[in-house]
Amino acid sequence: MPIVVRILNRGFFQFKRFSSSIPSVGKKFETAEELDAFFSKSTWSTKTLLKKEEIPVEITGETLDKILDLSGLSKSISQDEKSAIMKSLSEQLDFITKLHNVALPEEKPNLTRLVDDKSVEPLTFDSLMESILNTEPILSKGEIEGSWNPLSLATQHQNKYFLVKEGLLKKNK
Amino acid sequence: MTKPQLKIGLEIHTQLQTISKLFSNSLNPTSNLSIIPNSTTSFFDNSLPGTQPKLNNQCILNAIKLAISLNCKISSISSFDRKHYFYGDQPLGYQITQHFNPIAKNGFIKLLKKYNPKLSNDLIINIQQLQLEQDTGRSIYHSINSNISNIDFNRSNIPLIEMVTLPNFSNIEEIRIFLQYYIKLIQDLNICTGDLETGALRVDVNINVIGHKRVEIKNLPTISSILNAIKFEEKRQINELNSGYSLLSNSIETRGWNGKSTYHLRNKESNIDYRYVPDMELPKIKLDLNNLIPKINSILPVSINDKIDNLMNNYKISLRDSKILINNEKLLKFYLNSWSLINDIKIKEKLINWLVHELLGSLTKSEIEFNENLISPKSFTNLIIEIENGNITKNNGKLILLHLINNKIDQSKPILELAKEFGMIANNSINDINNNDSLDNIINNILIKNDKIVKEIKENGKIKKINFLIGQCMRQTNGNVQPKIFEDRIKVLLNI
Repeated sequence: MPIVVRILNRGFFQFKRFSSSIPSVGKKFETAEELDAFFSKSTWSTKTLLKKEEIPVEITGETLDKILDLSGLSKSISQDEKSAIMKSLSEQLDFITKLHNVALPEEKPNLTRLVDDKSVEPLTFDSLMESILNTEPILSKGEIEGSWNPLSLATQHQNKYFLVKEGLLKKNK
Repeated sequence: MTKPQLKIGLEIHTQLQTISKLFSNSLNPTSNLSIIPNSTTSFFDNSLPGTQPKLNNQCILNAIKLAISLNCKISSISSFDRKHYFYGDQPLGYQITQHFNPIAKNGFIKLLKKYNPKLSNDLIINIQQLQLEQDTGRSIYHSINSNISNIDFNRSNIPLIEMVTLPNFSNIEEIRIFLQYYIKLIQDLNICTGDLETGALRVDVNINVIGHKRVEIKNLPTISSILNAIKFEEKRQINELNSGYSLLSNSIETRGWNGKSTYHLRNKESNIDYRYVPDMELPKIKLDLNNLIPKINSILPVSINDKIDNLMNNYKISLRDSKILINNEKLLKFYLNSWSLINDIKIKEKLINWLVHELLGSLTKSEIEFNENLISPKSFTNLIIEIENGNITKNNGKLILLHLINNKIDQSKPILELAKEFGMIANNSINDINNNDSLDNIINNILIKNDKIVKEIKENGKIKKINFLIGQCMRQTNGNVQPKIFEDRIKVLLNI
């Protein structure tokens, strides 16, 4: 489920960032024992993030069907498989709920964007034209015609074309 | 019963004719379907893991050109979003488009009756928005029952501008005029080839008669297929209404076109959820509009209507002929060059007729397209000047024109010399006639042979039949006598 994984990754990234943004520097360690003692005591565990929420988010059969549809996955699966996926989805949402509850600094950054928009200067006619003139294909991005063969990455292909079998055909759409 | 009112809106995808693609610098093969499949794709175009999009600024330039021409409000900040759906020609799992903040909104095209006599009134077509987005790969289906399709990613990531109009159209004539205008516009702006056949321009039609739900028609590869599909769909919807159609029972439907009828493709009720999210890998587009708009405006070509106005007002050309010229850049240039070579204003005014009707007419018959190498403006205008001055008859002039096109070497000879070689110098008066038969002899022979016609002219007053007699006389003299001379003489001899 790549989308869920992506959300998790991003969420975790934010969590780490904001929990570590409240530093508390203590006394300097004098001996190796002190250091070992410090690391032998855990103060926090990722397991707390996996605890069930008091009011868990419920995944219905209808929601599951919709998510399977949107993901392009088959709905012809057993009831056991369905129950397992619903349980897993519910746990993932519990996890997300916890991430949502992390206290954020007052000035909220734009969390949906990984790129830095602030330093982007508005385009003027000259900067626009200059950037167009300086645009060139790059070999290491496979941008030069005939520099690589995309079909070599496919286990099967037909003539010069990629091959799609079943499931994604026009008539099924 | 009066026909229920028809409401039509268009959704047009315009492939931008840029050097490279929207988010990569691989070659953009727009309109070229003969290129080897899967040969102009970068790692990103194939959605290889780890690749990231980088915006090609030429697409911004083209989008702004179009937005200005369509009177749109351009956004100083716009951004890209991901539209998720699964399909074989879209391995990324989403299309990058502009859902939340498109580059331009709220434009319009004014189609004036003055330039389009077939419109019943001036018509304003409102443009909802212009958004930049990626094209997908091209799926090729071999047959409807086959379980296999082929995919070519050359089209993947070609820049598109999606334009949506409001349902301002109410008949096919308006659609035809709008599409002709739009295609001419994008070609003039040099932002798209304007080809419907190659898919560089793709038009979807949203259509309903009042009382019927909106239907979307896709897969319309030519202007005539668009117009015919609309005609068919209008009738089909009216028939449905007449046979107890219920608004509630039908969801919004997408239909295709098979050349004869529209057919059901799918219903849009199946809760499509594209899960739009802002693309987190692409920075927002920020534009310094105060700087950009005036400068881009200054490099735009003269508008279509201004070009027509110029030809109509300064060259005294009819609307129809002006449109022929502005739709053919080479012809327009040839016309303007020829115009500057003629001094006599009366002959200048005859130029358009010679160019559009005589020259283009005979080229069309020979299935040749006009190009500037067929005849030099100098040779062309010299011929017209001699014809209009009466030194060569019109009919012989047409023959010489064809000869000049087919024998370029003769274009350097003085026209009268050439006409002399062919015995095509016109006889402008009775005294000029230099053969054994006098003019009257020729005419009298023709009158005797065509006594029935003569009778109809004299007794039944069918004066126009005199043209037949003139034609016969012209044939007899190999076209070297100006028809006016025959006309005057026949009238004298017949006493009419």
